[in-house]
Amino acid sequence: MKRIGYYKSCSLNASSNDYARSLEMSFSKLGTRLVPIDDWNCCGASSAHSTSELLGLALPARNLALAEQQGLTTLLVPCSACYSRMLTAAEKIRKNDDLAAELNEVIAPLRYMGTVQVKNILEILWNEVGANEILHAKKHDLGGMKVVCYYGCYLTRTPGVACFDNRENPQSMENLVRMVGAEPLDWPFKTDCCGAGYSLIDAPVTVQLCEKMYDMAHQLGADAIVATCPLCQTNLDVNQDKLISQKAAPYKMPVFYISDLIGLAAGADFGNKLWRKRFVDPRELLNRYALA
Amino acid sequence: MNEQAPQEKPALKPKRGLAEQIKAEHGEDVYRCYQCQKCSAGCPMTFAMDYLPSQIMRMVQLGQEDELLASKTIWACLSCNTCSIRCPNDIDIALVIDSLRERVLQEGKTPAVENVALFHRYFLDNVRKRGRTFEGELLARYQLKTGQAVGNAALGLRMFLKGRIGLLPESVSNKKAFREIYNRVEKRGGEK
Repeated sequence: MKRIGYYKSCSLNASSNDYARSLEMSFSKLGTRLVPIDDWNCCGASSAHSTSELLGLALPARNLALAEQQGLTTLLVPCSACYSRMLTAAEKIRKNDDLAAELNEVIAPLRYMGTVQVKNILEILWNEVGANEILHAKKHDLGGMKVVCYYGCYLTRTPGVACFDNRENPQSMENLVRMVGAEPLDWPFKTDCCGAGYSLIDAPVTVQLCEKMYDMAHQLGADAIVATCPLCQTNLDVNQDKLISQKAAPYKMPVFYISDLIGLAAGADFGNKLWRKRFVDPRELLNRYALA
Repeated sequence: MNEQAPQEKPALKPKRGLAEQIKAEHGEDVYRCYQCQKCSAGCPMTFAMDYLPSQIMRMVQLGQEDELLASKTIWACLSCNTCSIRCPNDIDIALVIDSLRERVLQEGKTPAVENVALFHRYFLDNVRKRGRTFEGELLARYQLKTGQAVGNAALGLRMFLKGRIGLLPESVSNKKAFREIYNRVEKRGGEK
């Protein structure tokens, strides 16, 4: 069984533990074992880089050093915000020896030598798991379920680092969902910001940012939204539920993780234990497509 | 008709130094900006800003530090990085805005949008304690302070009922060693 390093992170450990479950169950169907970094710490998220560039690099550097110590050369970072912070730190360390030396002083006695490849979930599915394995594991077809793929900010927008896909019009998620039998719809908001970072600071702003996305996806006839980031997923799920109950908004589009769809196709038995954790309940939709 | 001459605006006195400091400390050369305004055109948060991102770049070039550090824009920015990746001169504009926020805190000034800065402080305090966030504690502390408890408490309860709020905090194995990272960053003047 293939081993891939895994930065579990705060969100997947608590408020988005449903994503951890979805990922771990899906990957076990794909013949890949996710090996968590022992003793990982918070990457500092927006709060660290917003207030201290050095702290915003040092917190990821500690995780990179621990992963390296464990011999994890390829590291899956499922949360897009963590991914962007870890990737930024890894790249700045690689390009700037003075910074690398300073960060190693800050995280001492740990030391990071620069050997870890930071990857997001789409890169891992394409390049480490691979299309062959996904097709080989496929037991169910998603029956043409109409979805809009949502990449948000940090999958394709890490400044100063070459992007794994087109920054403004990425396609890798569409190609993955197509492979398992869903129908990705072309839509204009795939890389717009949903404001998740402000969901606790200023919730109305995030509702405003999300509402236009729901309206567009709904008009296009989307059954569901697919995301990769726990903060985006929660924000899109919670705000939609809020608009449905407060304004009788006409949409009901469950917000799936990409691993939900890959896992469903591979026959992962997620069941109520997973779906009840979501705000817009996906069970009715899954029944309609005979996937529940 | 008013025969008095229109009141003159105080003359803007360009000052050098701020852009040079940002270049030295963060590596971004703001003088490369030629005001194409692509950053402002793509920014999703302009409705909450007092200066557009392109105006912020110009103000940095002209060294208008007092206005910059008192602006709402730097706290309205969500760090979505749209400006940074679209800049034709490859300026990481979001990083320049980060550097201005950092400067407000380092100089002990009052942030123009206090709740944002407060949230960041509580978040980082929370991480400092154990190395990992403990969301329940962070939210309780922030909401009690800002009085947002009512709306968010309902959401918190639903998250709890869905088994999505940890009851017990988790931490890294050696909290004391972890805190050394914060202490060393502070010694280098990078954290308040």
